Amino acid sequence: MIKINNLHAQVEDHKILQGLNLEINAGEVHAIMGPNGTGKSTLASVLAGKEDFEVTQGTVDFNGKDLLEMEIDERAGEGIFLAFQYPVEIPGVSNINFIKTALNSIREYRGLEPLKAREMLDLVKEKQELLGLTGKLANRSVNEGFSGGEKKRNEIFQMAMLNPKFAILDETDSGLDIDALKVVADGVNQLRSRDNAFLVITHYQRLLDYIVPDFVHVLYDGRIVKSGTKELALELEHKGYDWIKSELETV
Amino acid sequence: MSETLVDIKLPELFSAENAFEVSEYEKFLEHARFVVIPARKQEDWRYSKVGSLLKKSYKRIEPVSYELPEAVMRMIGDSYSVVLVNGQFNHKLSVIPDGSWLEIKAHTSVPENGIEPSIKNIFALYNTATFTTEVIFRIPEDSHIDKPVFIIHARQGNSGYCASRFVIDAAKGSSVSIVEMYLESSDEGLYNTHVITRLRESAEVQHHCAITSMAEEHVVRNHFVEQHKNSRYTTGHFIFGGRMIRNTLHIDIEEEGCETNLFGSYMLNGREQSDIRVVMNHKAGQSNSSQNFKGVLTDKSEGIFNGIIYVQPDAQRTNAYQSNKNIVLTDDATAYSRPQLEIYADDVKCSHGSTTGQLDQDALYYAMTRGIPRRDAELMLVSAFIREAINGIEQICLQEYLDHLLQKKFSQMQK
Ligand SMILES: Nc1ncnc2c1ncn2[C@@H]1O[C@H](COP(=O)(O)OP(=O)(O)OP(=O)(O)O)[C@@H](O)[C@H]1O
Ligand SMILES: [Mg+2]
Repeated sequence: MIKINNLHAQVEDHKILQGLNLEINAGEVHAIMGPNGTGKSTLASVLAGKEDFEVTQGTVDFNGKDLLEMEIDERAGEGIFLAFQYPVEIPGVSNINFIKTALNSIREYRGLEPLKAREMLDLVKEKQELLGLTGKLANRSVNEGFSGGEKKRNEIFQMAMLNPKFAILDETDSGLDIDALKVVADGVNQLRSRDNAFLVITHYQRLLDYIVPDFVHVLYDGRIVKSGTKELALELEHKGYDWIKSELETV
Repeated sequence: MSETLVDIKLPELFSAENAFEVSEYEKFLEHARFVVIPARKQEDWRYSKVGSLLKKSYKRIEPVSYELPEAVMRMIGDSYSVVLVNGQFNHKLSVIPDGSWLEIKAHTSVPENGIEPSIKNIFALYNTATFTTEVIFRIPEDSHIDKPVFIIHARQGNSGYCASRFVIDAAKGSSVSIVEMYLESSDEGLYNTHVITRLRESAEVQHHCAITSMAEEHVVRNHFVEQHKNSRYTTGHFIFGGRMIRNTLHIDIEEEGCETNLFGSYMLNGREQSDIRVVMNHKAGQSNSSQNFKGVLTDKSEGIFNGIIYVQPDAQRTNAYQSNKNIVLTDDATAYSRPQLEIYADDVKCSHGSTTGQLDQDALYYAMTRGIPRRDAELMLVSAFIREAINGIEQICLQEYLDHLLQKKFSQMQK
């Protein structure tokens, strides 16, 4: 699905990603953990195409295409989705029109007809139910005045609507209460299939009880410094990151 | 002519040629001595590109046959319409109501209420000597006009001068809504429009105006409004282009209990300029007024908002609000924003604010990560911004038409 090779990225001359390698296959769920400020969200932004970050080295191959060459919206068209750590508010644009426009833009990119009003309505209903969202948020402006939890749910609702091939969830669990966490995790699990893949960024192993990953990676200093299975997350929960740092120093 | 008159040097624009009679032009000159000639030195005209306009000499041109664009006909639907081509009333294209509340007069002499001494604006003064058509609304007591009245300003032929004049007198308890539209043109010239509105007790007037894309045209509109007890006045001004568009809205609150809503937008590219001047004059208290103007500017265009709220000593319990927001898309485009308050009463609530910024880059990025192409995402944000002003309009057909103009204009701005 996606193959990240020796990725270096920086903001002005502040180097953030420094030789990151990661390969994710269809059907897999990978989790990324790591201390604050080590580059997790930066990785997500670089994959989504945010222009603030300059890629100085490395390649990203997405289903045989050069991801880094694509515009932001083209990446979405190819099937990339990012659930934001801090979802953005768009005053004056209704949540429902926003997602309809998004879905039809992606359909157009793929050479498909826009959905008929009826089909769109049914799909929205189905996905709202999946995430326990009421219609109340639909007519409000995108994320404007949403609570922290509502914003996160709304991200997963958008993901469910757009049905991406590769979704990155950046700390979707933070700010969610325990019930909401289960709902969101259920939502993700229902979307899991052999044809798509997920990259879950989190600080808490709790989420990984619900969304069980195939692999867990530790990102530190802009690199993946340790990879393992879901047991690695448990170990991190108990021991923190210091042992990894000291392991690195001895190397 | 007396000697003093000879002394006045007026800019070429205000030539005698457009006047219908020598005597009227002389009357105009007599009054013109007491008004200021627009210049950069004057606060009122500081940022305006009026200088080059004053040196032009546009002349009245007789229209030949004219057809209304289909989109405009669709919007008018079965409403009433007054079509002015080069300022001249076109009966064939218009739909005039039965009944006597609407009167359309070709210029015969100085308008029935004469040149009002209070007019301190040279364009408005010149209008009274040169207007081709006068449209008079006399809405009788407690009458509610069932359909909006569209006034269509169209032009034909290059470099023309078009002047028209509107008097709206809404009697006690009456209501009317009026929609003016200046149609798209690639010609150059000047529209000089003068509007006098009087709302008697409990009257309600909605008066909107759309100026469609006319890159080479000049439009000077002077709007004088007088509101009496418990009246409601709503006016929206939507500008989609023009070499120089100058809108003056002067509202006097004469008695208590009034509501005034002023709003609008300007979207400009190239070297276009829109200059909005608002004087919101609260002479009596217990009234609410709001102003909400929004601009989107690109290339070397300029958007000016210069609005003042006066709250006179007797106008206690006035509630006045004023806002001007601009999105500037390129470094060369400029927004001049001057919201001002002058308050001489103590028990009032007034607030004003202005912001000028770029398109929200985070929102743009967010929308694009959802698959929305940049141009569409930009349009989405700009529409949301301008829509706030458009939403103040009651007529859905007009909202939709403005939405269409907005999209068309923005795609020109993105080039
Ligand atoms: N636009 C930016 N300008 C300057 N510095 C930035 C920018 N974006 C990120 N950084 C810096 O890059 C580093 C990595 O940030 P990033 O957001 O990727 O961390 P993170 O691993 O997601 O942290 P957290 O767990 O706190 O979310 C931080 O030091 C951050 O301050
Ligand atoms: Mg982060």
